[in-house]
Amino acid sequence: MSVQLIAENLCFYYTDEDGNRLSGDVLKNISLKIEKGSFVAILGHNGSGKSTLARLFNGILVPISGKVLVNGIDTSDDDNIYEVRRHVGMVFQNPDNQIVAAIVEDDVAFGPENLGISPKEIRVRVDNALRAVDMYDYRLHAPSQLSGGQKQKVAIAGIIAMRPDCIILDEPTAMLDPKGRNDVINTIHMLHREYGLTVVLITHYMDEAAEAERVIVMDNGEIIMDDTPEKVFTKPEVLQAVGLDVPQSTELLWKLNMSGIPVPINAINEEDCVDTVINLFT
Amino acid sequence: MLKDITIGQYFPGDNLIHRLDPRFKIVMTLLYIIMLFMGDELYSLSFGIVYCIAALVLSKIPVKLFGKSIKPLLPILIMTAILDIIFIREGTVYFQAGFFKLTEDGVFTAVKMIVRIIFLIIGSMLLTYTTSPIQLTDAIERLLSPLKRLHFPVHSFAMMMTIALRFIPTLMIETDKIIAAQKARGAGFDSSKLRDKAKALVPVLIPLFVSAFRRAEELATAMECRCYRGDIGRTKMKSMNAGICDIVSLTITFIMFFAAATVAVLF
Repeated sequence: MSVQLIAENLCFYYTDEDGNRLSGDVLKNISLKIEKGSFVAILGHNGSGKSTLARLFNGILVPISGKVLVNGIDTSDDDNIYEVRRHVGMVFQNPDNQIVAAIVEDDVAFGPENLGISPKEIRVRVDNALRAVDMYDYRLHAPSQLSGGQKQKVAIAGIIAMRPDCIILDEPTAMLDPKGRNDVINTIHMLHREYGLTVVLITHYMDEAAEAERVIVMDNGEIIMDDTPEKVFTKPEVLQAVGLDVPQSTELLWKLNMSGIPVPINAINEEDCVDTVINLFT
Repeated sequence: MLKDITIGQYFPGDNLIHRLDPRFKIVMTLLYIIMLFMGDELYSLSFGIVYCIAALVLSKIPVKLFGKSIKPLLPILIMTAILDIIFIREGTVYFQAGFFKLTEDGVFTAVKMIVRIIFLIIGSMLLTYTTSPIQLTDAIERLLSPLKRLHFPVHSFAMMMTIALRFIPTLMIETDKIIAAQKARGAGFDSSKLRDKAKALVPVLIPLFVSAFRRAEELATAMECRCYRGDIGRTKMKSMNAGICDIVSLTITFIMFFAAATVAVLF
């Protein structure tokens, strides 16, 4: 597998226009590789630096020291910045503040239009992107007529119409109701499966992270865990030390352990948890 | 309450008026407006009215919608009519009481003014109802493109309009929410005094502005992420190609326009 995103000894703090330091270290010497076609969740509570990391990966921010490489291109090189952004799409928390146009299909066309693609090709890409997120029937609607989940799917369509090979989602479900959340998460998984997109999902919902292939836990600008969800979530004490929860099924097994019933903490979803508990009685 | 406003809304459809090239539609609307205000007699006004009704029928947009949009403007219409009736004192006198004189010319002018304003509104609504906001701003961008030579930022101007139109409903809903939130904290919006009303607006406008600026910043970042860099290397999904229909429609508009002008000059 080739490497999509590389961070090398990345350090970052916010500065004003004159370069004066405005914040403490937001990211401290982070090194990280994300493989092409993988599904990575980044966990961390507010202020852990996870959103800043996301913005460094598509060149909205550039590192103070260290390097970020996207498909081998350095993001601090101004000449290549649009090349970087074309490859790494970004979806934000508030769907309302990412939609530019007053008609769904016009908004999805915004990205490809910026890339200077021919009108015919844009039409094809817009229709395909809307079909991929199951919003084709709404192509002539105004964004204000849609629910939060639907708007977020339009925002995702707007990114995939640019045909990126990686998509970074910064807490895309934080403002949605449970139904919208499910809908958006299913769409993201589908895009990963069907189109082989690299997905970096930043979230603070444990259940969303549990479905990823790899979980990176951040705290205070540092990576404190980087492993498969099975391994990360079976260390609830580490997670709780940095103010994070574990998925409910893991928590149940952990509490059983604490109260003297020895069960292996190996389940991160409901099915595995049920199996483990049933095994207790057989 | 704020959601009822229909100005600037677009109703998707597929018929002659919807399909017309938006650039042509804008030019035709301008000609139509001049047509309405040309000449003083009913003869010339009737051209504009016939033109508008024909377009209305072709667009298949329910007349009810226009009624809804005109309703909030009724006070202005009534004021205009009253002023016309009071201050125009020529012509046959129907009725006199002291200073007040109801004259033929006054009534006639008032009726003409009301008809003109109503048709002006219907005509311009027809444009926004049948043309998507993007098409409209694209068309304005293209019509104004000669100004680029004078370094007028035509593209930025069009993009600003697109974003403004996009955020009208969003900010309306937000205003409703802020009003509800301030009411829950005990703010009074029910006083009828103008001073109190103005005062009550402050706690609504400040949060609204703060949030609008925050939205602007987030939107700017999102646009950058989607490779936006002004009109450098930018293409459009919907290209505008004037067809026979557009040319014929414009020709008919011009014929009507000159007929109305001739009538206005002759009578």
